[in-house]
Amino acid sequence: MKNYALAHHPQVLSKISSPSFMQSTHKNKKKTNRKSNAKSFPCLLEELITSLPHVRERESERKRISQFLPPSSFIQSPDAWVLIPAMDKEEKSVFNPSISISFMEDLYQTLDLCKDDEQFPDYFKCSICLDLLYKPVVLACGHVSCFWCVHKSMNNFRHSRCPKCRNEYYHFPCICRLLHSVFVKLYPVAYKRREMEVLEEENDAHYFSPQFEDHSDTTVNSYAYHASSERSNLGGFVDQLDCDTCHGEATNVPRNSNSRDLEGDSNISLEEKKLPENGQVNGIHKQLSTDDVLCVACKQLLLSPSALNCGHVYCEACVPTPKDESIRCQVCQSLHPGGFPKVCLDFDNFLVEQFPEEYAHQRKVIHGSGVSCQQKGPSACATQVGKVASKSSIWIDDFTWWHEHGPNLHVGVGCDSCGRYPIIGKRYKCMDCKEAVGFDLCEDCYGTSSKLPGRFNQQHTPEHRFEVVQSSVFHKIVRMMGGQSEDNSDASTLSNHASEESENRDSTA
Amino acid sequence: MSAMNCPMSSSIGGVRSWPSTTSGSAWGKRIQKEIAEFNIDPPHDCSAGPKGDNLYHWVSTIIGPPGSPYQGGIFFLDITFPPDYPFKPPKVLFKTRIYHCNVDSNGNVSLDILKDGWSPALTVSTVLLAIRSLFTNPDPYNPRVPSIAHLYLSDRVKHDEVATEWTMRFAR
Repeated sequence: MKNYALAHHPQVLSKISSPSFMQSTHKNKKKTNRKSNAKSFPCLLEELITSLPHVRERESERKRISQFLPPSSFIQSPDAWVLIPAMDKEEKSVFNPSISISFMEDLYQTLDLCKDDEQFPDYFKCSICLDLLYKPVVLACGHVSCFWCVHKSMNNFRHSRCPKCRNEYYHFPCICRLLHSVFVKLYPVAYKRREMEVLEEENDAHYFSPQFEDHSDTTVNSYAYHASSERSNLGGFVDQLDCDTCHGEATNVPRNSNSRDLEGDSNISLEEKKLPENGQVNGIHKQLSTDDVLCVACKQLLLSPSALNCGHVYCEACVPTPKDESIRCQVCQSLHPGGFPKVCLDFDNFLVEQFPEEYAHQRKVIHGSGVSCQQKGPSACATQVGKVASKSSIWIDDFTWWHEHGPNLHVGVGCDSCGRYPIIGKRYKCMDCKEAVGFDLCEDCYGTSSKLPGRFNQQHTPEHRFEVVQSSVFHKIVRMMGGQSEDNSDASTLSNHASEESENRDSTA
Repeated sequence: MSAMNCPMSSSIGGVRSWPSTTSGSAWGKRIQKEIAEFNIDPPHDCSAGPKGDNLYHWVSTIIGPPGSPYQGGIFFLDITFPPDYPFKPPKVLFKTRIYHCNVDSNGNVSLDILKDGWSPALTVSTVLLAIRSLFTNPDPYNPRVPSIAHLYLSDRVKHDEVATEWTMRFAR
């Protein structure tokens, strides 16, 4: 405030506007060792971008790019593709960054890997990683993201919100096997590329997503991927993965822990086994048939598909709705927490596009027989979320919430059965699971002795022993603060939580 | 499942963060994809790109929208991505002085989506669009600089005059 009051004065103004003020912040950051590029980077980049599948056919987009080229008062910097205003030379150099060849190659390589991808519609692009959905998870609001994208965007302390519509949710849903198999079929090359990328990361991190055994068909595709990766000098990477022990461990796990799920999914896994015969060869799309997108209840083409927490997909009208208890999946008998699931509109769009006749027919049949479909999701969803509480009420809300749940909260620990994240209340931790991610159950799931496999490919068996773990939020926060020294970007938020927590402790004591 | 040692949730644990060099991780790739997408479909009157070799540090410009007192000005912004981007918001700093109730003298912007309102589905382009809309619709009820907000509410003409003057001085 004080600054601004002073700054009104013309003399102060002139001081602030002097070049030294503007530049002082940049001077230290100026690069001294500049490498020269053989070929102008923007040209390369533009070439590459326009060769990407989803751009290739969009000539209109090309025109838009050219429209965006600088007006007279702008020049395009030779080795950065930031448009910079034409200024005097001194200042220009500040905003004229040099880009090294390695940087360029990295970017080129990333984009180059996508070059052989099949074209996929925008609604199958994950809004978080901006790539093809991999191991799709359908949230209660009907929005879809990748398994790891959802997991990583979940809040370790409180309820999570959908990245797209900010709808609150508490449970990490299972992967939607139906969508997964659709992607395997429709976009084999792109999906294989995603698989390789994710697997590489999982191997690095020693955390695994559930592995499905439906990739027997992908020999053709992995070959295609191999070829493309060799071209971009990544040849050793695939071999490396093969000899990795974790890889072997990961693929043989579902056999013992997943059996029940597989039984339940029999129609899906059968379809997946059919893939080798009618799978596609070298990028020629094998048409998806309606048999691949059937409702698990009515065995008809999905009409307004809604996914439950367990990942099974029903027509909106087929979702079992018992009057007095919460929704339970007919296939795997697991509970669907948190009300009626919203229609997955992206999937719905896809079905309408892919099977226009069948879909219209199905709609006619359903509506003709007088089954009332519920209101479609988006409007209801949007209105729910639109509400923004005033700041003070949020704060009070926060405080009472922490006061109530803080002592029982298991920060960053989720239930491997129902997906509740974080667990509030008693936490049962498996003493025999060796995986780094651990295996935990919430009180409800421990009581019902659910036999669902872990969310992260743990080798958990019913014989494993459990122990009750008390919440130690305070200790964990102290530990996190210790671990924070390497990475202090979160220091402020953490200390907020810590002080909040200690406040709670004081008030409860 | 436990996230305490889980690198996938290093945002909270801080136990291990993704390598912050150029590529190598999915989230580094996300920034690379943003570069490509930004170049295909840049928001109106905005530009952005990495500053030098660092994927996590961008320079951006926004041209003051016509009809606002910032018309014709070119505003430079520094965008810094945290290592756990996109799960944490990028930090945006005005490098060009601007007379605006939501931007303080150090260039900090008060914008909901850059703090609690952040969602990993937002991108640099949506952030720049949000900032650009701040030019035409300042939010005097959540001000960074209360005196400017007060002037904006009490004497809009005077406010616009000063803002235009600042634009002429600093952003031309």
